Amino acid sequence: MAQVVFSSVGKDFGRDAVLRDVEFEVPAGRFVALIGPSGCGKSTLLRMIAGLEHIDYGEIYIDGNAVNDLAPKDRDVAMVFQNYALYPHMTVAENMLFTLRMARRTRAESNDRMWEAARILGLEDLLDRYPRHLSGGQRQRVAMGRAIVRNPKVFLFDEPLSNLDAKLRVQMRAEIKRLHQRLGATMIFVTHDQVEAMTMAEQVIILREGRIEQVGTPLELYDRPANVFVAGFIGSPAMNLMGGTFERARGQLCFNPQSGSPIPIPPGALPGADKTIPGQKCLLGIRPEHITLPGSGPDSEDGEPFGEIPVDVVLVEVTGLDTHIVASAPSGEITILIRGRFDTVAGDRLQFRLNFSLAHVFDAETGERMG
Amino acid sequence: MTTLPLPAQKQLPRRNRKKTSAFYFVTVYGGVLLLLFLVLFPFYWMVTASIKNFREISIERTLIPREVTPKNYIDLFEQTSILWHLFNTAWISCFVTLVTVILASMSAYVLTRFLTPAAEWVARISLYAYMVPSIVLIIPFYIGLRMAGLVNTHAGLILSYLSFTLPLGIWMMRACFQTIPKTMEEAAVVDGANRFEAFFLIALPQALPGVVSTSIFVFILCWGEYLYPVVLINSDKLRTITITLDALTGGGQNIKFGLLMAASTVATVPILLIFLVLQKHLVRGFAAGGYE
Repeated sequence: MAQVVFSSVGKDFGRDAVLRDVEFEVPAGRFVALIGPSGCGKSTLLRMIAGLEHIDYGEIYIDGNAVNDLAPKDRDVAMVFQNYALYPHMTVAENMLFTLRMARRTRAESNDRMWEAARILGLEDLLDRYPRHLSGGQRQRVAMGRAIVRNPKVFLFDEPLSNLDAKLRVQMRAEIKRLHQRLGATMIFVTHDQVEAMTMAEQVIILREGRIEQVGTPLELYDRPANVFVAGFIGSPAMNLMGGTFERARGQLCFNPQSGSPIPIPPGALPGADKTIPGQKCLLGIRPEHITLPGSGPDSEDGEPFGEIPVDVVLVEVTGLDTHIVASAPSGEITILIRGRFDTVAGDRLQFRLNFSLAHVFDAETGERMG
Repeated sequence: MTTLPLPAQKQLPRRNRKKTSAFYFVTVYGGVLLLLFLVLFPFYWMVTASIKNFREISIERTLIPREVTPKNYIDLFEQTSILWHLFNTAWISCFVTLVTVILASMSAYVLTRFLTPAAEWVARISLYAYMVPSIVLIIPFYIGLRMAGLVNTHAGLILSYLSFTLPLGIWMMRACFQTIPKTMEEAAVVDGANRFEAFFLIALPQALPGVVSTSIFVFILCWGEYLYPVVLINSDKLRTITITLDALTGGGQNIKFGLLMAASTVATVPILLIFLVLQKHLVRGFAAGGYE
């Protein structure tokens, strides 16, 4: 169990900067997910911790020691690769014993550790098989077994679930989480799947184009995204973003979309809107589940309900658990998520209410959160 | 939209299939039989001629020997030093194969894992080097080896063989290492291995089919090499098998066919045995993408 610290770390590939001034801290024993779109530098970051990529500038500390100049074998980290990287000419047992063989451990100690790892991961019956005789899930488990036999300071996972089918992915997600609870080790998990990051990690780091966009717990990222990128990246279906301005008319704060009539906002519901200056272009962010059916919530002084908008249904997607409605609103196309079943078809005209107290305001130019 | 009636739709492919399979059978099997005949008949003639007497070979020209005689083999072992020449050929071929495989696999590994922009050029140059005909290099080689005092020595012969086996070996092993994913060695490095351990314990075992096919190719090249030994070796004790065979043709004037075919059979047997033993690995080495 060890703390991992990144101090102004950067990396260039030729003229292209892959990582720029990356700074974060992973407390000891924490499960952290590094997430971002393809090519954002998350795998490079992980490989830098493992010692597989050179650190061009800045420092990485593991357990308080700078590891920039340490060989991978001296960093005491274990890594699970995307394609598992099992040694095909070795049995499952030999795959797991390899790292202990390299560490010149005694045969008795190595065997004890290997059996312990096999027991934790349910691999006892597969020890004499070769990787080509294993299913995807079993290979994944062997890759994890190879990591845990060493009892390393830090576990690194490089998109380990991306090669599995959807059902197995959910199962392995739970297994990795259980493994973390059992071992209590520091784990850094790279993924491009925000559901994986949200469900597994205690802390999520979002990267874009080599820069950290936000660090926080999954719910912090979901409830208070720092910018438009995080807002759009976290959550599925993605957050609706509507361009417009905030205006105050007769003491009543309204959201004035690019087209369509102003939408009144309940007093004090949207603190971010108060920080805007009249005429400033903004993005109103509202998650699909925060657009609800009318009939509840406060009304304005003249009896008009707050935040109600007319929409034309374009597309209906039914998952069984909930209903996703893609609809055309005055401010553009929006997605609405309704828990349970909802009977509607394309072409219907419906009224929905925007729940402003759960909405977000972003500066349209900088993309930064306001309030 | 009109649709074809169902029976017509069903009949059409069936009739086509019948025609295709008859055509397929005749062309493929006929072709294979013709090829087999072209390849195997000279072998048949070689082996049968080696156990026929002079009359049957040169005058009666029988296809199937009427009388089987070991005389050609007895004469061969009594009149020539073929066993000694066979031993020379075997040890030189084995040594060159071993050195080539060790050096070529290490070079090819480096060419595929490091120095990426330059590596492509080095690999190409090695292929070009292999493509240069031996006849072009033989004079400079002779002069160089004479200056080094290595003419008429096995050391000189081995060096000259390496000039064409190494480029071929590097090219073949490079193609092999290119199919082995780098991540396995990275996993080994994270697991505590150094570069040498990652190469010897992880990359090389996976390249085994490639190592076997490279070894066989190199061995056959050395076994059948004629030009270098004929130019560089002049003492009978140091000769290789190809020179023995050449000597038995008597310069084309007085060809002792019985003896020559017996010697050819003796020279072919080791190669055949090696093929039989390593056949499985050779096929795996040829199969692209055979590595997991």
